[in-house]
Amino acid sequence: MPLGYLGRRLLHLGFVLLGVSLVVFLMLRMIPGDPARLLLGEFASAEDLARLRAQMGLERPLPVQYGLYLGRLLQGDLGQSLRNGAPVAAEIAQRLAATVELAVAAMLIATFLGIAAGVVSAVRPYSLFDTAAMLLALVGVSMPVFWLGLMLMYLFAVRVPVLPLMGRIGMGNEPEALTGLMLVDTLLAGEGEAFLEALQHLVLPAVTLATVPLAIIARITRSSMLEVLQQDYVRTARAKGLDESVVILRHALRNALLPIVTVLGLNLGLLLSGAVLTETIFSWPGLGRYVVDSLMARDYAAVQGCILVFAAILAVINLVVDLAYAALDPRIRIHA
Amino acid sequence: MPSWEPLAGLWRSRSAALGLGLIAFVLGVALFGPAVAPHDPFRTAPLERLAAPSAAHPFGTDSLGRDILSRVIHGARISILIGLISVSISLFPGTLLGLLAGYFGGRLDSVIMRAMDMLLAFPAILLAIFITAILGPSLPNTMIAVGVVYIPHYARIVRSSVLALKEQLFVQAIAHLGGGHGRILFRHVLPNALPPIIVYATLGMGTAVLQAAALGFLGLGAQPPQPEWGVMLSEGRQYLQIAPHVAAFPGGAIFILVLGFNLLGDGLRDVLDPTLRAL
Amino acid sequence: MGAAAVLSISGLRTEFRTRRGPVAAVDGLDLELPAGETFGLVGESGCGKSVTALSILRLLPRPAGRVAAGSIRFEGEDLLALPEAAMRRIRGNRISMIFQEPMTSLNPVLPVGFQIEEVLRKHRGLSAREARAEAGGLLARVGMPDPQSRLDDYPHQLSGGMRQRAMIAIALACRPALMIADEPTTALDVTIQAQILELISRLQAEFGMSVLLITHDLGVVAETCREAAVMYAGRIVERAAVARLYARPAHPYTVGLFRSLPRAVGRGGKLTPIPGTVPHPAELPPGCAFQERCFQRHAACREDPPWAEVATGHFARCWKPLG
Repeated sequence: MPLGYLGRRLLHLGFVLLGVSLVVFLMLRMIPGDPARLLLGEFASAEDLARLRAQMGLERPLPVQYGLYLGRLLQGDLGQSLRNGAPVAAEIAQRLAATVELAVAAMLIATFLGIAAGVVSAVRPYSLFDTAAMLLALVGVSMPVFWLGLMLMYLFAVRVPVLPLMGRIGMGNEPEALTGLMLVDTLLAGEGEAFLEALQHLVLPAVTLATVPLAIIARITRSSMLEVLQQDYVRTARAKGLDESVVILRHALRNALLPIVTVLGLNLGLLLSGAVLTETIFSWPGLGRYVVDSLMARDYAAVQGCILVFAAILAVINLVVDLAYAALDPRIRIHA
Repeated sequence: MPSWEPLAGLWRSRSAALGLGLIAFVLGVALFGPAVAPHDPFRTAPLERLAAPSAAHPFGTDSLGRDILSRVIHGARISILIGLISVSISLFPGTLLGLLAGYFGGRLDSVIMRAMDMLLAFPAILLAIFITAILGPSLPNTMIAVGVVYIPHYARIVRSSVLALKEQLFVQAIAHLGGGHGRILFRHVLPNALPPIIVYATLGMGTAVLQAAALGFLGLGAQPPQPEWGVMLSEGRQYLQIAPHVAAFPGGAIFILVLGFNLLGDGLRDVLDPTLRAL
Repeated sequence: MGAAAVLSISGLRTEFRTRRGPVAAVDGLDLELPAGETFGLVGESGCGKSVTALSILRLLPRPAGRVAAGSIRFEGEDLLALPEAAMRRIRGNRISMIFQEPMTSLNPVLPVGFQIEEVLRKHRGLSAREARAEAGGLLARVGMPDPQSRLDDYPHQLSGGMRQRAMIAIALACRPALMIADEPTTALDVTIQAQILELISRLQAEFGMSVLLITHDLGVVAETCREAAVMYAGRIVERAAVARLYARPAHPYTVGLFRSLPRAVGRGGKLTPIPGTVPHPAELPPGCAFQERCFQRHAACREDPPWAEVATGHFARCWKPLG
């Protein structure tokens, strides 16, 4: 992949992040009242308020204020939490791994099952499998995530208690936090039982979070594959005497992946949104729950920090999707 | 002018017919339900709290002894309104911005579309959360938040239709004949850009209902004791272990309404605009 | 018909499912392909010539198309009766095919070399390295400039003519007994057309294989084939050595084809298009399918005309053959 393409995408990423910070900055200024008091809370001392006002440059024009704000952001300073005075950046870092673990698990489930179901549906269109799968997919995209989570929780943790109700692992079984990823940490610590426990805790939240993207991926895979299977080069592949599995997986699916990857990228935003709800339901100690808790506590410093981080994650993911797209499609790779 | 003849195909599309049926059902409940609801949705009855579904209370009662069926019926009106108002809030500004950006191009186009890109850079629900946090949690603010979040989607769709149309001869011909910009835009370009907007707005109704319910569920939307489905779900969450019906029925209602919009949207898309499949 | 047949089709009927029920795109087709030479199959689009080719390889679009009756004998077996796995061993190996659209017939996301190597590894069991060397050699044989470095190119990096050369390399890879070329030059520029036809002729002679050249272009047939058949509405209506066919066409349809061909009419001659259009396969008249457009139609045409030998090795399906 030529560096020029990567460079341009990175530049674009920079602009997006700049825009994101501007939107968050302006929105915080739209809240009526004194921004310094908003960020420090009702009981802040007069000196603290004065210091923060000076730091934010509140008496200076808006562009200067934005410049100062951006400067702090670039140093990794997301401000102090209203609730406990801890740096928001540290609070976020502490919770990021839990969200990443949940989102990755969900995405793996959604991608593999979704593509598999979509491919089988497209190879046997209007079969019993296809009809059932597409019906389920339609149900999946219409499902309120929070309702699905609660119902799964009721079924598998209350009615037939085979899975734990909430949390990431049983009390007292937490492994030493090396990566923050419970599955990885338990493995590194060599604790097989704790690993299984963490895995059990992950099942319901991951399935809940995976449902909507799974349904979307299955639908787009089916329609993309149906279109690709009509193409001349698929007929060529068959005329070469290749096995049908090779025709489907190597020749058709590789081409069908292009729109699938695009949709995957669009859905990661959805996944992050879903994470907020899923974490709230399953008391999953990640970023999503932190942002909701912060909102309830009117902790604007924490909220704006989370929003920025979420938007940054989304932007980076979109960059990765673009690169994956280029890797899959030689036409983009070579001409872009 | 776009051809509306394919609309006849809607009746042949089973998914569209089923979707219309579901929506009509919920709409009927919203319009006439409150008149026939068995109980007052706000009347509490401490002695009957968390009762399981029975003949007297087909959906059971909630933690304050209120009849869940009656509350779900009243909630239909709220959810339909949320859908209509939120979609209007994103539809009209989004369409206008898309028309202007696509038709005039140049500077205006880049300014509008860069601004839209910035909004799109946020995960939808988080932006909605942020906006409600700023405006304060309430039902109207939920509608505004959900509406604003989806403005860029309409702007993009409309802009790309306009760009395609602009190349077509009839628009250029009208421009040569000296038609004013406003006349060209609203009499000629807009009607031809409508099919994808209709499809997206239909699917958008479902999304708006879902998002608003999610905000209600998180405590950022409608506030208790309003019988909004998301709020009811959130109340039911605490009693999941002893009274799952409290959460089950309002969630089922959300699901049915959203399913209706998705089915209708799918059907409309197949009929009106097959190229839109990726959405 | 001097040479032995490499492939013989008899009574082929290929149907497509439509809203109005099954429609036969090919009906009652008999055809013997001579071994070791290039045989032309001529007809307008929609006459069933491509469907015939796809029927031979059993590559009809599924589930709409299917062979309803007939047999296709090749190397001692009936292709229509073979299990799918055995059929896969024949495709791309004993019988290969090149298609009309070189732009869309190669897979856009795989390098050209890989698409050639794939056949070699599948049918000839070559290792990755052997296949790559062989693929380079094949590209050289089909006249690809700078063949080694082209192996890593993707189809979009090649011109139309080069893509068709790559397709021919794929078709040639396993030295097939029969190569079916379905309108191989139609989508190409005129100058490239001549090069590709010449290439096919040269390779046919070099490898001693049989080629079934499907085209709507009588000029192409004249340049490449020794013998040809004319197809109309799903059947063969005439067959003869090319020289004979051009000098004394017997079927009124063939005559019509020549009259509408600028080159055959010559300077100052009058171009006469055949009146009417090719009938839809579902709306064929009883008897001769061409009767409604024929300049010498008469009462007998309502009955099926016989397949008669007009002169030695020259057959026509007509009640009143000319010539």
